[in-house]
Amino acid sequence: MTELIILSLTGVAALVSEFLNLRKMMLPLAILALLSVLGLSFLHIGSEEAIYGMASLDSFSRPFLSVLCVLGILWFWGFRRFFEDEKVTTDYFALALFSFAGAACMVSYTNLAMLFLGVEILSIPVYVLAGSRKSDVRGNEAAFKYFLLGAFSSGFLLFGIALIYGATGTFDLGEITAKLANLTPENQSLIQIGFVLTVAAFAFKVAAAPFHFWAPDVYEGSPVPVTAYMVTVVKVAAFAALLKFFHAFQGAVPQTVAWAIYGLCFLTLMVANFIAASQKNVKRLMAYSSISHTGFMLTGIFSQQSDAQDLLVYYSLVYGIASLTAFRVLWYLRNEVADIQDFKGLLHTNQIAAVAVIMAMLSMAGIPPLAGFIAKYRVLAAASAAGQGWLVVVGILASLLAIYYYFKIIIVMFEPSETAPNRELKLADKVFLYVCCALLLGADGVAGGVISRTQQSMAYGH
Amino acid sequence: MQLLPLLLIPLLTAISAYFSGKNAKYVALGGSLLNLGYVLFLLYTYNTTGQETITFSVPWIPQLGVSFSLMLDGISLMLTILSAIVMPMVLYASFNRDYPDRHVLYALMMLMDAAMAGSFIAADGFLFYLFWEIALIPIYFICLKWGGEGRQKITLKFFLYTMVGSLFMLFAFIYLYQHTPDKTFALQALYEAGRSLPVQEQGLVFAGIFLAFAIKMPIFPLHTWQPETYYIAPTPGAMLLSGIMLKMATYGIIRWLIPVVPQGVAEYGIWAVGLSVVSILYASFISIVQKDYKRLIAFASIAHVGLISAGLLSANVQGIQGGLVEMLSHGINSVGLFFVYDIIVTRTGTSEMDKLGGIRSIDPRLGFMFLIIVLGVVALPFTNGFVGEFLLIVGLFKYNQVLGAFAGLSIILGVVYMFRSFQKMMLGEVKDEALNYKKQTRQETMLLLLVCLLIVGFGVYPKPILAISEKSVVELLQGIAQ
Repeated sequence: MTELIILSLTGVAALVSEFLNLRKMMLPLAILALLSVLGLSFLHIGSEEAIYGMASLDSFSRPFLSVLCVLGILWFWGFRRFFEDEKVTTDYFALALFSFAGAACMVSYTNLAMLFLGVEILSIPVYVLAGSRKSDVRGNEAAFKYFLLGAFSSGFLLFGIALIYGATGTFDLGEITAKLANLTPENQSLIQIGFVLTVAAFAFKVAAAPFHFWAPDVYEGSPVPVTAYMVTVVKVAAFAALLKFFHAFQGAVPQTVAWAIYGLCFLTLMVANFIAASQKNVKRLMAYSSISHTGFMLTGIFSQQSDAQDLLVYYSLVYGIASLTAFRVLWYLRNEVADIQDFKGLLHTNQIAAVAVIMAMLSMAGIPPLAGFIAKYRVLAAASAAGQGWLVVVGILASLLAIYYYFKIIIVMFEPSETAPNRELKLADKVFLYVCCALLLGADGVAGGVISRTQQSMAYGH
Repeated sequence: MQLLPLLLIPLLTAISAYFSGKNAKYVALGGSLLNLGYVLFLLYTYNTTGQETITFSVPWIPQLGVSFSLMLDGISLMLTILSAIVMPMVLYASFNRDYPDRHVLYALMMLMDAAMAGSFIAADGFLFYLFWEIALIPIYFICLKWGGEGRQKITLKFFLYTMVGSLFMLFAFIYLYQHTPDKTFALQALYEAGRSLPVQEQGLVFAGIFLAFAIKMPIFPLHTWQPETYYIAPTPGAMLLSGIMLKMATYGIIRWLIPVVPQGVAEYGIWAVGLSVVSILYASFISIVQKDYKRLIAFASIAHVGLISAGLLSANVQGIQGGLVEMLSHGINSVGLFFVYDIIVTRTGTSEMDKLGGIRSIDPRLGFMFLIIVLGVVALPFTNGFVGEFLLIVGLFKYNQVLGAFAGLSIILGVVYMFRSFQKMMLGEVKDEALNYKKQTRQETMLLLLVCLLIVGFGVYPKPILAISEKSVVELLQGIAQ
């Protein structure tokens, strides 16, 4: 409860800071708020707190909330210049913080109504942020597209929830699970359609093929910081919600639907990677790479039943950090449109940025000793354990394609540069990149054990 | 505990080389010599304590069944010695050139050394895979940064090719892991899991793991990345690739393939041996028509590795022992061959053999020492190549006489292409390219002399080398037979 209050109040504080002249205080305040939520999550590991039957902070939601906080802190820190424009500082802070509160609702919901609220609270500020460059046509297009398709998927979600409600007479996830076992045949088909529609809505949110068409355009058109927010916080929140939804309906999913979801994994992995391999624009490339990670995460959570949560927490954290690193450097290179050639010679002009990108790319490609390797490994192991050997082979092919396009960026950086050395990074940004690199390297080696151990104590501690 | 320095010495050397700027090469050489000293000390204790296996194990990621387990028996020790001997030679060989950003180069080389050393002593499937992959990263960047013309595409091909194999090996390991009773990657558990599988499944696991090794060695028809990569790689990189790195694959056959799925190897191994023999013949014939000396070395390496692979997969004492000795000789000879390339190309700017000639009359010392290296490569008796190749062919002959006979051709063909290269470059008239040829520096003489001494030394008295691994090999094969 406290966590949600802290997040919302900080958002309100951002609104009033305009006339209290506290603009400069907003960044520390936002980071402090996220830190305190992170601290609370760690403090209350294993304890359970139900919030009026609508949401619950428990061993499921706390790890996800912690990951969201870590990503949020890194995001505010790395992209703080985004908020420097005097006129809009407070608006942006308020929007970002409210959206973050929505994410917190999404990871902790126990009631489908709360899920819908969370999705909307998360999305609406992001629609606005996506169009924050008002004079930019592409930005407007992105915002509009995101809004329209987001509204569309909300419709799916509502329809799905309504059907589930119709079959069970309740919005509460626990009660729904309890009622699944003895349903009349008509209600069973209602549940199945409702399930499929809801999953489709989630597939929109996490950009799984074939519901991914909006993603490249929106990611390309939005300002880099907002794209970074979308591929990290928004995606992690949506995945956490999806996993909880899967858990609730475990056992009630008929074989045909299960195959359809495996098909979703397959399509996402293949489509994303094949298209990404031919991209020249880095933002689009990263968009497709993000879709390909959606494919991996989907494969992971759908094939692994018992500790899917642990897997997803680890994957989200690692993927999020790598994405933030890559987008931070992209933002440093050029504010907006970015061709792969913009990375040319970066190794000679700005070594720290280049090394950070190399780390991020290697991690996303899943190459040891970087953290992304264990993440991808666990997905492949999960698929293999579920007896889906073919999906492992698909995952391997996808990884190979991914190496191809991630390495395109690395190779370009090694080429001699023709331009003058780029401007220096500020100290805080250098530290940001160092921290990200350390996390990507360390999470695998030393902390890899620590992280998964903490998670285990989170998951089974009570 | 005794095993940790094998990883820590190169690792710390890498870090200190990175921070020592221009002195990086001395730091790296010092570190690798320290490592050599430590390995010799291990060898001494190993011999005096009655050849006991040294192990080290701490839990690492228990959720995934991964432990940080290391193990050093005679087989691992052999490979550890190989990398400990070859590494300082590679480093010393690189002293004749000034590489830009050399602190990065030497740090990467030592990093790779640490990873390769790790893969030779890993006793956990996951850990082995990690080291296997980590070794790839530094060499990729070495080739990308210091490589020759067209390196971007070639190195990417190299990386992707290797990853294909690696990922299928990982899949095979995951499959084995799921068949272990308490879900672990520990070596013995994987052995038991693999052996409990039905023969067809063993065959699949065999295919998955062998794919990775066959690409790394490489074996025909998966070799297409290799000649180009060796060609563009900077000399130290090429030495590392052929001197040490491909031994990760041949070592893998002994440790991670034959004992894991013995029935699979017995049933389907003939395919792999057949491919290896094809590989020998194919690469030898290509070597004969090669115009470029560096490409010739690359193909010669394929031919030799094909013989090692065929001998190892015949899974008898002679084959495996021969393979181990041959790995050691091949490592030393590769350094010699690539170093001769480096000497010639720094002076004449070309490695095309038609443009070269008569170097021996200008620099007789180089001619003599190159001859010794060539003799070692063609496995003349009393050189190091002979011991290994002889045992390999005996092992292979016991396994299958026809294949053994074909593999025996490799020695004759080897003589053809190696002597041809010697004749073209060293004998005959002095060509334009070689006209203003400078004599060897002392550093070059020292290194070549060392290579020649090792070639002759091991050739004349191979017994101590054979004794290192014999017991372990016999035990390994007994384990399979049960």
